[in-house]
Amino acid sequence: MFRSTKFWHFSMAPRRNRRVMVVAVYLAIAAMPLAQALTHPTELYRNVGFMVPLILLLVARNVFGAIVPAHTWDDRRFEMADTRGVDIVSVTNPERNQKIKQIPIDPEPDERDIAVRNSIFFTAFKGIAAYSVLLWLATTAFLNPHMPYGIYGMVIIQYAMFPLMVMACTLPQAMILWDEPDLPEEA
Amino acid sequence: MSPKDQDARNGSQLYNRIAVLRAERGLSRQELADAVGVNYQTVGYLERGDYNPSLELAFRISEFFKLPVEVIFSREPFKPLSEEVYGHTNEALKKDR
Repeated sequence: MFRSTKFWHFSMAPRRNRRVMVVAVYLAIAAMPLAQALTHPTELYRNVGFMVPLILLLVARNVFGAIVPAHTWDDRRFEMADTRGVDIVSVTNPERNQKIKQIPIDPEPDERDIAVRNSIFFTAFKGIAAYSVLLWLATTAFLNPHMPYGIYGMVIIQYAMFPLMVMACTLPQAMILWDEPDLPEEA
Repeated sequence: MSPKDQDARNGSQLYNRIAVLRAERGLSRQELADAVGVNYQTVGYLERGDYNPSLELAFRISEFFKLPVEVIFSREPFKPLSEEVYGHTNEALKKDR
């Protein structure tokens, strides 16, 4: 279930620490669009500004991913593990072989990991589905040309879509980090 | 909802003696985990009663310890060994003091 019980110098074995991490990451993700919304609401997705939420999202995914695998799409460590055998026998780039050897490979999920993961994904899916319905209802109001929102209607929908993307990409990881009881420190 | 929450809701909390048996045999969580084919974290959750094992895992554990499955797992809390072997109850011990 957990790749590591440490993040930098912080122990992630106690659930309290993991919850602090989840709150901090989500606050960081929310801060940028929120600041933008309060200062220049119509400029969120202009120029390269739209990249900032995406970058924050990838950072969050990797911060969470240092502790728990994402499972939402193919994970790098699994891919590296799959090609490891081929790369190690290669004589053309021994330095790369050494680096690949050092990548910790995720253990196969056991029955508890699978049970927890299924349960968490099911709960996350319900949340994401409910939010999608609300979002669709919002589009009927805010993207309606007969309503007086103008450009702001589109901006509101853009802001409202961001949490959906964040939830779809990181919510299961965050819920595992949030829910799992304290881990045994030593093996 | 976590598996433990589901177990609590179904009233199906299982008690076990894995921690005692592991300590008796001087095994680490990792060694026991490797022997029965789970992650060491799962052994910790089992010991704390945070997770109820599948029937297959319960049998693998009982085979590993070479004990009947009902000696390791129970739906009722286990009595302390002192009480089970010598008949000492906590109340009697408190009286003696």
